[in-house]
Amino acid sequence: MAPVAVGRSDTVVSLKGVTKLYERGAETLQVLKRLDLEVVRGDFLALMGPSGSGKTTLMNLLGGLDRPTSGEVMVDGQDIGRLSDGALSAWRARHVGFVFQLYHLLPVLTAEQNVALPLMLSRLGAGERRKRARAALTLVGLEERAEHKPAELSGGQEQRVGIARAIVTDPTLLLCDEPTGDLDRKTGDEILELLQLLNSEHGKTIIVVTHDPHAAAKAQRTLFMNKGVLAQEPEA
Amino acid sequence: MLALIWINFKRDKGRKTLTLLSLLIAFVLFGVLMALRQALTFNGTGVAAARILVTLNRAGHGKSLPVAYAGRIGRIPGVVVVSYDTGTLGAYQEPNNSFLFLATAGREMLEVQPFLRIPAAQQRAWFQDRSGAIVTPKLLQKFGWKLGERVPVMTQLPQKDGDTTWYVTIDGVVDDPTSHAALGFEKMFVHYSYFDQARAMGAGTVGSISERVAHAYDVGKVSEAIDALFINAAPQTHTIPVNAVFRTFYGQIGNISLIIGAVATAVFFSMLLIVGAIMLYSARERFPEFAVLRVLGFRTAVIGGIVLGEALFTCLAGGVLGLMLAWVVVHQFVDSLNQVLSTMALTRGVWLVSLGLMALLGVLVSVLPMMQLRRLSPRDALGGA
Repeated sequence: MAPVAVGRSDTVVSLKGVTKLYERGAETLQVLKRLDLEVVRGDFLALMGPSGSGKTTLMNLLGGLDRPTSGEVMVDGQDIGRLSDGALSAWRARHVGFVFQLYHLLPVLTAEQNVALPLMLSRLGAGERRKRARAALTLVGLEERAEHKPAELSGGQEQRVGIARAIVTDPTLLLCDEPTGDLDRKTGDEILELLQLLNSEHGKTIIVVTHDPHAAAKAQRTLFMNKGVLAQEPEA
Repeated sequence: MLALIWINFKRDKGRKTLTLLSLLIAFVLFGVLMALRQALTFNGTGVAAARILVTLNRAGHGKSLPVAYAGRIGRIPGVVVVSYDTGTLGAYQEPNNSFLFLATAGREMLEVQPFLRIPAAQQRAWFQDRSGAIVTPKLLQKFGWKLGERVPVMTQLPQKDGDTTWYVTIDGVVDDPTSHAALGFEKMFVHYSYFDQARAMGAGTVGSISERVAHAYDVGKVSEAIDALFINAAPQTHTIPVNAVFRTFYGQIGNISLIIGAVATAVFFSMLLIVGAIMLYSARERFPEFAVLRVLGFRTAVIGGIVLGEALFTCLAGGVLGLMLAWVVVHQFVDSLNQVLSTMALTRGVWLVSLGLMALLGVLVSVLPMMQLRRLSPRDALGGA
């Protein structure tokens, strides 16, 4: 199968013949089937598909949370499937920002502390971490809520904090798992506009997994996942 | 990372307060028990005691020996100096104010027992004062005596004029580590010569004779030589190392010490189970958060470090507070306890052992959550397929 790409150079993500199998009892499930994919720097890609189609598995592979059974996953020139667990953790901290459907903020930390969390793995001092976290919060329009804890924020605000946390390390790739799935339409639109802004103004490479065609429409392009296979068009 | 540990330590205040209270109570109990145990096992004589022998009447340790034995013992090779003493209970003003009233060889006693410490000037004053006495510090403090003061001591021993009250002058204060021990009572030392001449009965006898030998490895040989010397005499002698005297006493209280140790161990393991269960429950509740941390790039070891740090912090905080309270309890009530227990103290050793146990507790209660963390996949934060 030919790689699904936009045909530009400066490739950030390159998947070649990626297969992922899961053992479930005596049964072997083939979740991804010899998948090829290329994503270039500055791309904003929406990934759609029904539940169980393999979207999240693909996200896990792209984010270095899982390894392919076979094939090659290259991100920014690095074959991440060959990294050890420890090296993969360090790689994730430097190169990938994650945005979750349910935000996954730590409830005991303030917005600023949540955003600064990934920076704890860097060698930055506390002052610099704080400065960068403030800058990320400013970018998502939440600088005034920096001292608030998640329970004191609305869902949209929590997701903005989640996005600030994802971009604070200036990662190569932003992976968003149903980022508007838990929000109303209006708030969801605001979040999508923020992602668009990060893509267009700040050149962030973004991959969004979504069920929502409205959300997918905000991306530069959309790919469809069905039964472990990627396609340019949804299956009829 | 310390900030993260501190923030997590402060979460769920209700549960944390109860955990800290459990630890606090456990370590109060542990601290008091350990203070009691050390009071029952401390003798304070150090290595000097290894060179001291005590000769007693073989017919019974309460029976007396002729003081003349001391001179003969002093001629045995290996014996450096010989002392002797005889004692009874004395009291000041009322029978409850009791202490050991010991008539000793004076100068020789201080040579045999070098761990007895007395200022040189006071020592000289006592040697020159036939009816003088030296006392342990607590005795001086308890009765408010002054140096040079003449005090009456009530005893059961009549003098030749029938009076059972003895008058002595306080010439000095002697620091006797054995009086801090469980075995020890507060003591008053008077000169044997004065005591023996004045008493109505038992003249020329002593309760025990003590010898200091040249080398610790000689004590066996010398004690056999002493007892051999009096094998055909009446009374015969029984010579034993002074440490054995302590051991005999501790043998009687050894079981108590063992029971205290067992209770302290039970306290520790109860705490281990309680705090362990709380830590495991608390960590399990936060596994989704740990999964998010894994996604963000935190290694399992770093997250394990957070769990361990929190457990150590909790155990140390509760434990140290508990020990501080135990210190207050011991110091507040020690004076009202009987003389044996008045030597209770939270020594540096007790603190070190307790701090070690707190750290051990922290490590042990972290083991299970850390083992479960190893099985935690960052994918758990995302779910789906």
